[in-house]
Amino acid sequence: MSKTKILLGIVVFGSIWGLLECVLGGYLSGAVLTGVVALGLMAATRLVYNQKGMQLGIGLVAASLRAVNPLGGCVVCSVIAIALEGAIFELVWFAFSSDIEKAESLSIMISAGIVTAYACYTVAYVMSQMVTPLLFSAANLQVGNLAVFIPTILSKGVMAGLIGGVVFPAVVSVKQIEIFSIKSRWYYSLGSIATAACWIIVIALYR
Amino acid sequence: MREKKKFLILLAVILLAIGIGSTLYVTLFKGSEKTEGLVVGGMEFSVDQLFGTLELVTVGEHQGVALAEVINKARIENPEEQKYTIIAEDGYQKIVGWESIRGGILTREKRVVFPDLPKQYWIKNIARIEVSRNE
Repeated sequence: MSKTKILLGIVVFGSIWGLLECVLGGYLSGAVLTGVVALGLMAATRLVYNQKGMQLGIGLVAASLRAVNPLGGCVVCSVIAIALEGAIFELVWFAFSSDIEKAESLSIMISAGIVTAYACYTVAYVMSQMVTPLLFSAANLQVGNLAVFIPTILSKGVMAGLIGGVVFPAVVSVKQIEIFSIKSRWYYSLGSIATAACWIIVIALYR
Repeated sequence: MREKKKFLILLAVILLAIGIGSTLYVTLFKGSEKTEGLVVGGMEFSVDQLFGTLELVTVGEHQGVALAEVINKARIENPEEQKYTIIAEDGYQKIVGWESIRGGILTREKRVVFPDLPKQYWIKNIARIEVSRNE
């Protein structure tokens, strides 16, 4: 597949993820968003495109779109967390890529979903809490207060992990989609329209 | 390869065990501090008590009572020399200084809003504000 097609895939799916974060962020908990939206989209694109590094790019695009929306909770924390989720996904799948991508047995699929979603949620949560204060002069990193809250973060991660364990096996069926077989004209047209729609919706609704 | 697959399954089990263990720890030992009112430096106030006696202030889109007034109502001595640990019902907590308290408000939904701090400091469902000497 050409690099341009992969690049458009990154922008399209990153924009969809960013749109869903903006629209659903106020209604769903972070654990549900990670387990369903983040893991679902990243796993699906990894299985369809089979391109390492793509999910890091998708996370960065989604984080950029989330940055456009000033509403909801801590915007900076969300932006950092989304970008980190892409990076954590890449790390987990780098370690287990051959096993996960083959995804031969249900136990492997469920385990991959649990590990990826749990790691994405908990590590991104902790890291966003650590990085955000560094960007504000009036704020400061409070390791002690964060340490007190870590058991709660690890506890909340169970929800993300369990959802991931259900979502990943459900997503594996997309492996059969042959994205390469879509005609270039349709691929570029639909991709551009979907991307533009996501950004226009977020800018129109939230700015 | 087979070892790696086993490790992935084992890792999933370990992560879930850590999460469930943390849930038990939080539930059994930390619990939730669900309260109707708010404890500030050892003094307990109801939300109605605060909103009935203090003037309403607006910060951006949020309306509430000035946190500095709440601190004064709790008769904290030398408030500018203290640091304030704001603790939510679920245990989430942040320390803020007097400068931030001066510009901050407490909303009727027991949320603190600080215009000079990121939203991770805008703690919801606060249960307590602990006051300690600024070192």
